[in-house]
Amino acid sequence: MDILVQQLINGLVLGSVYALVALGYTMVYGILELINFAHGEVTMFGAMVALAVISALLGAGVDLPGVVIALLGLLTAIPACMLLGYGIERLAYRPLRHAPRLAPLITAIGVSIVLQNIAMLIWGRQYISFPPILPQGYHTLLGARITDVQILILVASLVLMVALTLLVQRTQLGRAMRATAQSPQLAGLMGVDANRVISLTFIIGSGIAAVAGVLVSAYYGLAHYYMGFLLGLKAFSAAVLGGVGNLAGAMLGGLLLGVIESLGAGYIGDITGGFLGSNYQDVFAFFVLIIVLIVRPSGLLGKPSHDRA
Amino acid sequence: MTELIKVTHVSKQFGGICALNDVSLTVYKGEILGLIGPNGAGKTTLFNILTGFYTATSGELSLNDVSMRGLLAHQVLQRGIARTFQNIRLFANMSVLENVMVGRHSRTHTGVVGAVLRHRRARVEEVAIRTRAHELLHLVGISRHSQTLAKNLSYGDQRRLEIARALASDPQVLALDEPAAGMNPAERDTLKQLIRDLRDALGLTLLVIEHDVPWMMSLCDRIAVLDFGEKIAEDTPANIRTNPRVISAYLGDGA
Repeated sequence: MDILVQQLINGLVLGSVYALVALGYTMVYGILELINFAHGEVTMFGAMVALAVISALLGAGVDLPGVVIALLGLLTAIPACMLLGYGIERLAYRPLRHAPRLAPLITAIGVSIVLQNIAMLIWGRQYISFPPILPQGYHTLLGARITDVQILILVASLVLMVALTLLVQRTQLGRAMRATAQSPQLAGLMGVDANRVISLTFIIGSGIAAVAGVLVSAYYGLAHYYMGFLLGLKAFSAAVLGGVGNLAGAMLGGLLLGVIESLGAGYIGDITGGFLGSNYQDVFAFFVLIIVLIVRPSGLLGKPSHDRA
Repeated sequence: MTELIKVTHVSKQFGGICALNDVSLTVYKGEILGLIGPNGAGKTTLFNILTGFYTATSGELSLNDVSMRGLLAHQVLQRGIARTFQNIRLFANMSVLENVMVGRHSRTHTGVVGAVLRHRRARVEEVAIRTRAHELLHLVGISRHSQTLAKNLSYGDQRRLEIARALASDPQVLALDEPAAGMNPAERDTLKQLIRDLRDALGLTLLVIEHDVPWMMSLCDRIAVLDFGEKIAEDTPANIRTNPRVISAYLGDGA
C-alpha cells in the first residue's frame, strides 16, 4: 500500500514537471503546427543558467538563505530562457514560416543539437550537482514520504498551470492566441499581429520551461547538457497523450505520464519476476506514446485534426 | 450628402483576366448602397479591393478624402471599413461572445505586460470590451447564444455573428457580402430590418452585395450594377428597374 502511495506521489511530482514542459510543446503546436524539438534544450538551459547563478552566488560567499539564492537563480533563468525562446523562433523558424512543414521540423532538431553543443561548450560534459540549498525535510503522508522539494514542485507547477490557463482563457492576449491558432489569416484581419502572438507564445512557453528545468534539476539534484533530450521527448509524449495543441491535454498528459512511469518503474520488477528492473523506467513514456498513436492519435482531449477551423 | 468613399477608375487584373475595368463609384455617408450583377461580374472583387484584400491594378480609392490605396486589410479595418464574408469565416471553436471580442482587437490598447499583470487599465478595458460585445450581440439578436461555440450556431445566426464581429471594430462603413445567402424569406425580412436598424442606430453606411434583386430593391437607397467587370449603372432602385442596360445584362440582349 505505501509503495503504491509513494509511487503515486513520485509520479505526480515528475508528471507535473512533464506537464510544464509539455505546455510549451503544445502551445507552439497549437499556433504553428510545429513540434519545437528544441524545447527540451530550453528547459536544460533553464537548469544550467540557474545553477551557474547559484554556484556563483555561493562561490562569492553571499550570505543569503538557500531558498533566496535558488530563487535568484530561477529569476535569472526565466528571462534568459525567454530570450532564448524568442531568439530561436526569430532566427530559426520565422524565416521558414511559409516553407513546407518538414523544413521547420528538421530545423527544430538542428536547433536542439546546436543548443546541446553550446551548453556542452559552456558548462562541460560532466554532471553538475544542485547544491543542497533547498529545505531537505520530508513529511509522512498515508505511510509514504513527501519531501519539501516535492511539495515545492507540485505547488509551483500548479500555480503556473492555473496562471497560464487564466492568461489564455481570460485575457485579450489569450484570445488573440486562440484566434491565431484557429485561423492566423482571419485573426490578422481583426488586427491581431500574428508574429507578435507567435513570439509571445515562444516567450511564455520558454519561461515555463525555465521553471521546469530548475525544478527537475532540484528534484534529481543534477543537471547535464544532455538532460533536455529525454525530458523533452517525454514531455512531447505527454503532449501527444493529452492531445497536442490542447493546454488541458498537456497538463493531464504530463501528470498521467508521470504516474504511469512511476508505477511502471515501481512494479516492473514484480511483474516480470525480476527480469526487468526500474532502470527500464524510461520505456513506459514511449510505450504510452506508441499506444496513443495507434489507438487514439488525436490524444485524450484532442479533436480529430480535420476539425480544426 | 457627404461623399464618404470614392472609387475612381479602378481596374483589377488577374493574369490576363480583367475582373474590374475602370470602375468609378461614390458612396455617400449614411446610405445603403447595393451592388448587384450576374455571377462573375466583379462584385466581390470590388469588395476585396475596398477592404484591402486585393490591391487594385490601377485607380484610386479614398475614404473621407484620404487615400486608401495599398492599405492592408487590417489597416482598412482600422480606418473604419469592416466586412463580412460570402463564405462565413468565424473562429469556429471560440464562443459567440469571444468572436465578437476578438473583433474588437483593432480598437484595444492593452499590451502584453498589461495582459499578464492585469493592471487596472487592462481590467477596465476588458470589461468595456465584454460589455460592448454583449450590446452588439443583443443588437443583432443572438445574445441568448453568447456562450455557444460559433460552429454550433445555425447558418443564419452565424451570418448575424459575422455582422456583430464586424461591428465590434466601430466601423463607419459595413460591407456585407451576400448576407442573406441561405436564409429563408422570413429570415431575409428580419435581416433587412436589422440592416436598416444598424444604419439608424449606429449611423453606419452600408455596402451590400446580394443576388436577390427584389430584396435589394426594397432595401437599398441606391444600387450600382456591375457586368463583366464594368459598372453599367448607378442609380435609385426605381431607375435601375427600368434601365435598359441592366435589363439586357440580366436577361440577355434578346429580351
